[in-house]
Amino acid sequence: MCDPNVHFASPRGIVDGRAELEKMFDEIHKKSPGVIFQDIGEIEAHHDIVRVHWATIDSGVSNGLNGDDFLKIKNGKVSEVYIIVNGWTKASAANGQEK
Amino acid sequence: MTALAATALSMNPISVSGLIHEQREGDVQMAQTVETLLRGNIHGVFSEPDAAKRHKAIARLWADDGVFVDHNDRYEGHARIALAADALNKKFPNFIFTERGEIIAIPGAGKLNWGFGLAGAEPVITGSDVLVTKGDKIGAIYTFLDPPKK
Repeated sequence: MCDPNVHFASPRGIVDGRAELEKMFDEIHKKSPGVIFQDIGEIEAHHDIVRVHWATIDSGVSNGLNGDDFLKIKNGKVSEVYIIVNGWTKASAANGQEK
Repeated sequence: MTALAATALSMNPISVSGLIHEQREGDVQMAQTVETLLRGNIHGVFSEPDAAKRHKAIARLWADDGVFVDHNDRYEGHARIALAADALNKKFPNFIFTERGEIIAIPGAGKLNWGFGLAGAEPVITGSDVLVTKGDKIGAIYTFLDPPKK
């Protein structure tokens, strides 16, 4: 799904290459096995770019964190990923989850 | 694409939130560059009524081989980006872009949510620009329009 030289930028920093990306995901899954990302609304795509709006779900419950992903596609594979964390929804922040 | 998104996005929200507040060396300067470029592009290029000023702003902000992609087309290089900005200005001469919410910067990239419409009025359309830096200039901007509100 990802190009071998995929460029991945997020608040954690920049990761280049599929092998490095797999390592990072392995670490994340080990640390937070119950957390998944749920896409919300329409996934929009035009030309070779894609936008996905998402929120995180922890053990089946929304924890209020949300953001947007922007992907660039090259030859049918994901060549660039930009992860934008928009922040916490007001409700979850009021519940004391913003720490 | 849904499966792809779920896989690509599986990150630890705890560490992500921690990093939102964590400042690393160069982060502040990088974020300022991203903000300056994103703002310069919507105000100085795509909202600028004077063609000469608009073209100067493109030369100042964009890398020579910068790529702008919107729902209409893909524009590479200063001359093509100028065509896109000129066409929009001709079609909507009194419309301007306004910023909606905060700009969010990550290493080498950032996002600005915007509205487009008459100055002082509710925007007619809203969307997002995602910018990728090239040195201290704009390497690429990918534009998405928000779906109409239901």
